[in-house]
Amino acid sequence: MTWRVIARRDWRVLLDARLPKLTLVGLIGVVSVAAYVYPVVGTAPITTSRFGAFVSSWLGGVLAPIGVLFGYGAIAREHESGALRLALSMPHGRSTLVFGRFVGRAGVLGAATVLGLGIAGVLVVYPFGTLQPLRFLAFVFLSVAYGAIWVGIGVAASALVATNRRALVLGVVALFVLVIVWDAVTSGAEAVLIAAGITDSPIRTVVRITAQLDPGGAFETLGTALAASDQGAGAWYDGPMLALPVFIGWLLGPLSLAMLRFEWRDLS
Amino acid sequence: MTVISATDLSKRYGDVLALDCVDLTVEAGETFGFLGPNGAGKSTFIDILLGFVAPTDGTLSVFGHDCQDDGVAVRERVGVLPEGYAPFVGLSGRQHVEYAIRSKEVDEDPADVLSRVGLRGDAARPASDYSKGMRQRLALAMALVGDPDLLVLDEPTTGLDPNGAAEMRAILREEADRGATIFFSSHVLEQVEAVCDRVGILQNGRLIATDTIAGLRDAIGGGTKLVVTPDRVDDEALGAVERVAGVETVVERDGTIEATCTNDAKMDALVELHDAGVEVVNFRTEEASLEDMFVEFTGGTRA
Repeated sequence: MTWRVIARRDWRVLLDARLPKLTLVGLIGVVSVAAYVYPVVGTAPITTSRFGAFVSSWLGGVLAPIGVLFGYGAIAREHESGALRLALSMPHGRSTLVFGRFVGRAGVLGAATVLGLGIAGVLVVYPFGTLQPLRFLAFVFLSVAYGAIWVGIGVAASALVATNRRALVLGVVALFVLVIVWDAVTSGAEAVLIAAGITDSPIRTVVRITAQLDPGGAFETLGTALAASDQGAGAWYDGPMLALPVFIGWLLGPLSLAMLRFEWRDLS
Repeated sequence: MTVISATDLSKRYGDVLALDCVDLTVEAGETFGFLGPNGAGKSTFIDILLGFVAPTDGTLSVFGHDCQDDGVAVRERVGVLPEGYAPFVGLSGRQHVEYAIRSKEVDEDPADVLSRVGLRGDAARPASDYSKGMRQRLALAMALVGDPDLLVLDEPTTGLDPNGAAEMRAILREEADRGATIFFSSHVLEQVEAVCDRVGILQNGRLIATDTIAGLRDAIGGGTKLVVTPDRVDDEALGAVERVAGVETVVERDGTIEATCTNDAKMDALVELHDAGVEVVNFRTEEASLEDMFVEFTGGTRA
């Protein structure tokens, strides 16, 4: 279980650094503000599970860049400085090293997410809201996993290149494509189809499915599903049936591919 | 028991052949010195041993474990002082050693390990603030954790002052006395000569000699060094010595002529100088140093 040793070291290093601490305070602040605003601007009933649907787009916008920020230096920074040689002189496998770094960094972000949503839960419930504990816990878990997706993307970028700068560029490009470009392209494509009068054809289904394949889309769909007691009669691809496997795929996919690639790379 | 075994080991980087069919064995308990000029392939060999890079051809195993397929099993028994490493940012010296202790799953007191390398007083300082020599000591401390069966040290005395280098040698002797095998790569030939039982000389990726230092001396014809102080050192004087049968190398150093040669060639060299009109002011003979032998084997390339 040497990944625990690596994760513990990364946890400590991350919490000792100033920038990660500031971003975590920012994350907790954003979630708290959302919880403070929600009872004022939200529609009744005010519940913790409906708060999840309300805050998911806020969280999505904050967790993604923080996750990449936490992840991109995990391997590449030490590769560039030479500390990776020291790390790999210990009896750790390369995959273990990548996994340990991921766990340590995702753990820090996850702990801050739990803390932020814990504070938010109190603000939502007091004085007028209702606590729906199981659904809220599921949303907290979902949010932690969403943060882990982006840490995983950052760590994957870090494991695929040799310098910190390239890892940052790769992470930011992934962030830009998955958060901004993806939505813009699929929304634009759908608008074009509607303008062309194509409202009921396989091509529109493909566009709408594609719109659900990014991590943010999957997170918001799952967050909304947790809030709603009635799942309604939408298309299958608008609900958890597609969002859940997509979400799990983003959680495991980039990190697994990067571990596989890193395992066999020359590190001279 | 064979500890390190390389068979037909080759590594190519694009058009550059960094290692060319290297065959090498290091036995248990040996202190083996690995020599070669810059770019000879020493670090590539160690990088393959540590699993940092994969060989293009051939195999390298440590304690019977292939370094590529079973690298973790190799490193469980190996302490490493890698070349060109940097400490972890944000960790103190003590935290580095604690990390090594937890990684190797052993029960040791970090203070004891740091005392051994002379870093106990600086244990709480961030290791990134350490000098080069202190970083070398820290990496050695991490390597020593868990009493490894094999120590792999890549240029371990880099950045150390003479006292530090002497302390490093003393630690290596203690480790050798404990029964550890030591694989030692260095440019500082005096260090290698002081601690190694056997050496290998690598040049242009090929292992051109492997023997004890006495064996290498025999291989160059007895390995005597003749140091002559003539009244002048010019091409004629150097040429006169070079022409003598049994003379292997001739160099000028600080107004003297240094020649490695067989015992029989010493007097012939002095006579040849006299016949060339060069007056010999003084002369002495020494055993050829490892550096002299290195120059001889590598055709004049200094380590």
